[in-house]
Amino acid sequence: MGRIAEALRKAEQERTTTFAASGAAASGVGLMDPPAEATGRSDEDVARHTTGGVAMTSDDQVRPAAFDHATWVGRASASLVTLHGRDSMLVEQYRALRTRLASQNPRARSRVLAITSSTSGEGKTVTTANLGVVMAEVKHHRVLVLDADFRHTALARLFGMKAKPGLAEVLKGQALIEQIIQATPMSNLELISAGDTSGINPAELLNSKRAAAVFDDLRDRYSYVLVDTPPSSDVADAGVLGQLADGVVVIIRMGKTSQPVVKQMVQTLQASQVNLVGCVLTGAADSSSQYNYYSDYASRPSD
Amino acid sequence: MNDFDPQANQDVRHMLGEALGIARRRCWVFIIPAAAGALVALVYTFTYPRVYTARTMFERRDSLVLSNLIHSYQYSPYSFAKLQQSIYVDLKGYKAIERAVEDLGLDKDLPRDEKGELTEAGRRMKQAMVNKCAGQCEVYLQEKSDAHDIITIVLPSKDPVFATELVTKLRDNYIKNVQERITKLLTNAQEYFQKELDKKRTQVGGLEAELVQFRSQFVGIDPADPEGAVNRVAALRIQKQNLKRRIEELRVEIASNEASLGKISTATTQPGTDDGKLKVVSVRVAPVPTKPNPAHAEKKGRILQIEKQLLEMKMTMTEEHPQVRRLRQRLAYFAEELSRTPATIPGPRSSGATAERTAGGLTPEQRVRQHEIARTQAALRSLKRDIAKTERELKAVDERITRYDAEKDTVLERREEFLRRQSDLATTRGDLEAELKRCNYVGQLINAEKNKRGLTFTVLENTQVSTKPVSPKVGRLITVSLGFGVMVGLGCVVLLELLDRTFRSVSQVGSALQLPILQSIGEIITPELRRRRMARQVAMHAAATVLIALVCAASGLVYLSLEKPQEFERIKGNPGLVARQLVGSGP
Repeated sequence: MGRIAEALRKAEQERTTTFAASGAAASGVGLMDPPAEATGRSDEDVARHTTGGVAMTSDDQVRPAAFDHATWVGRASASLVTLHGRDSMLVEQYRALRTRLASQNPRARSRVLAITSSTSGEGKTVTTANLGVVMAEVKHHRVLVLDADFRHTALARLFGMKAKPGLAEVLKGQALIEQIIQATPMSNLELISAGDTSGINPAELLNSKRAAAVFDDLRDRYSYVLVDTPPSSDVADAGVLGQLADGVVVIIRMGKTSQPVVKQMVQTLQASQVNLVGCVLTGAADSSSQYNYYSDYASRPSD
Repeated sequence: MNDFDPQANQDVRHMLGEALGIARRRCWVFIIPAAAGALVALVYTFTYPRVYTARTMFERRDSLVLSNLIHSYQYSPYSFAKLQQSIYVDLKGYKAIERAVEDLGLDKDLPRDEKGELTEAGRRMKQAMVNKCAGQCEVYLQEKSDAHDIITIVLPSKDPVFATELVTKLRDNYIKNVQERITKLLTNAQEYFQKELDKKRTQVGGLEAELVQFRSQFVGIDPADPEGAVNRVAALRIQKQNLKRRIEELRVEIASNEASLGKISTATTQPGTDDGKLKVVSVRVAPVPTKPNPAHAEKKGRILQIEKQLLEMKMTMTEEHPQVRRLRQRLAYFAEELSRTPATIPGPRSSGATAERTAGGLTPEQRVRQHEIARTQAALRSLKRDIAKTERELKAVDERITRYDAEKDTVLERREEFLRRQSDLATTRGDLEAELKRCNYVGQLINAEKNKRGLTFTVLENTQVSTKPVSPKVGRLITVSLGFGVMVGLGCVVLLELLDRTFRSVSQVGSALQLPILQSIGEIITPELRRRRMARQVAMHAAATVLIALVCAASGLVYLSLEKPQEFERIKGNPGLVARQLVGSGP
């Protein structure tokens, strides 16, 4: 037990050091080359892009995070295991997911990934958040987690950040996109919450041209945009978001998700010409056994 | 020899893993329904009817003297073995139970017609009732001795009162029936043996009359000894030969006497007479004196003695027996000797006979000659009389021989019949003796029964109902209830597994969706989730504990209701008191 505790402590120290050195180059750690326009863009480049007719000026730059990392960790939900670093085995599983996504997307063509599931409660939001954190661990990535679930906004609360303004305000034309992007203590991880969803028609908003423009802009801005979507069996938003995104990752909760519902969802998405990247199984009871060695390995201090 | 199949081993391990996974995942789905099912089953067992047994024990005993008497006589109509053989039928046979049911009036509520007779349905119901009782009634014999037995009747029933009445009635009916039957049996036996005795007496009288008639038909001949008749014929023939020889001897002697008489007559003719003829003078000749031959008498006596011995031996021996044959040889020898021995021998001459007498002036010589002539003439007359007598005897002997020869075959033919009748008579007399013994024996038994010294019955244990139910068995009941609970639990698990349409394994997802599996991520245990799980575990443990406690309590009550019904009734009557006692007996 002592060795494991020591390994956890060293891993935490390493992570803290990594966060402290955010913005520094992480050469040799990256899994892929980020698009050139996603890094080191000039204000002019940004100004060329319009988002729903709203001009992007230098005044609209994303403001830095208003709290430090420790405060963030304290405010974030306990489900954000990759941030808390409590369960190194789970963190390694999310890192493995990051690696699989990168290997399936060698040229980084699918940068906008919609994460959906057939029913609620399967782990979309948690997976989106944790995947965003582990992707942001790669220094040359700029990662955005986007809450597009207007019916059950939870991503901002999970990160312990503001729920408003968010995507709804941008789609309604009430705010610029830079105004809704929330920086996190991790320099290359940003968040867009769902915003004020009262009185809106999500399907109408998501089917608008503005939505497509916003997604195009975000695709240009970030290495990866992880979109949290509503359950596809409840509403049709997931299909729309899947068409807006470059790929769709299906979340399946073991022992909970019904097979016919999942099959129906997959058939529907495939009929909508959505790029199904793959599926992630959550709540796997026996996944720990195959990671025993790796969990121990992950807990060791890095050399 | 390499039988190891890695694939099969892997399949087995996989199945075991799946089973263990299901057991871990569905443990509460099994435990809670299993406990609930067992509880329901145990509660249901209280409605299961309890079966009690009514039991009585009685003794059947006979006096030792009577038992020995019965054993000593193989034709006894009064047999304990027969009683034992029929005891099951007499006690728990259909008729015995039907009679007890009728005596107790248990069939009075069955459907009847206007005449009061049972209808077809009523008969069937009564038959079913009797058959059920007959099937449940048990009879046990403890001693299994002919003269002594301890009989136990056991009847299980849901109604103890009914069982008690029926068992008591069965016992009383059996005792009464057996005593009546024994008395009737003995009376019938006595009548039968008396008739047999009279019949045998009649037979003996008839056979004796036939034998008397048989003997009277063949007088002088023992039909039982045909060889004796033959011997007698042979003796007669010998006697006949002797008589013939005697006649020849007499004739020779007569001829000799006549010749000597002629000589004497010639010599006695006197020369001085006128005519010169010899003057015949009648001379009375004195007969020659004789006496019985003692040797002849002795041999005749021996012959009679041997014949007597032969007759005695013929009663027990055949002709081929060595002693009989030896006697026959001796008899023939003495008969031959007898034939050679004259019956008489000359006696001593008297002195007067020799005295010379003179007559008519004859010379002494003439007188002597005349005397000789007279004596010879007298001897001749005597001889002629003897011849006549002997010839008569010979004739009689011939007649007897002829008659014997004629009757010999008839006697031989009758002999078998005579002997058979004699044997029949002896057998019938033996039977008569046996019948007399039987009559006396049955009379003794009847007297013993009348004096209450015969078969006696003693009730050792009056009819009692068992203090606790004999059925259902507490162990079986609890086992079945727990088994039912296990089945319910397993059924719930199997049902849920069958209805479970969720994904359980990575391979299942891959084969169902044909999508790449990016990653399998374990359960994120947040403090909230842990609390919820903990609360759920506590609730499940509590529910299971309560249910198992209830199952244990129900099992205890089931045990009490079956093993200690009085205690159970006490608890049922006042559960609060028991609860207070339990609380009070606690720490």
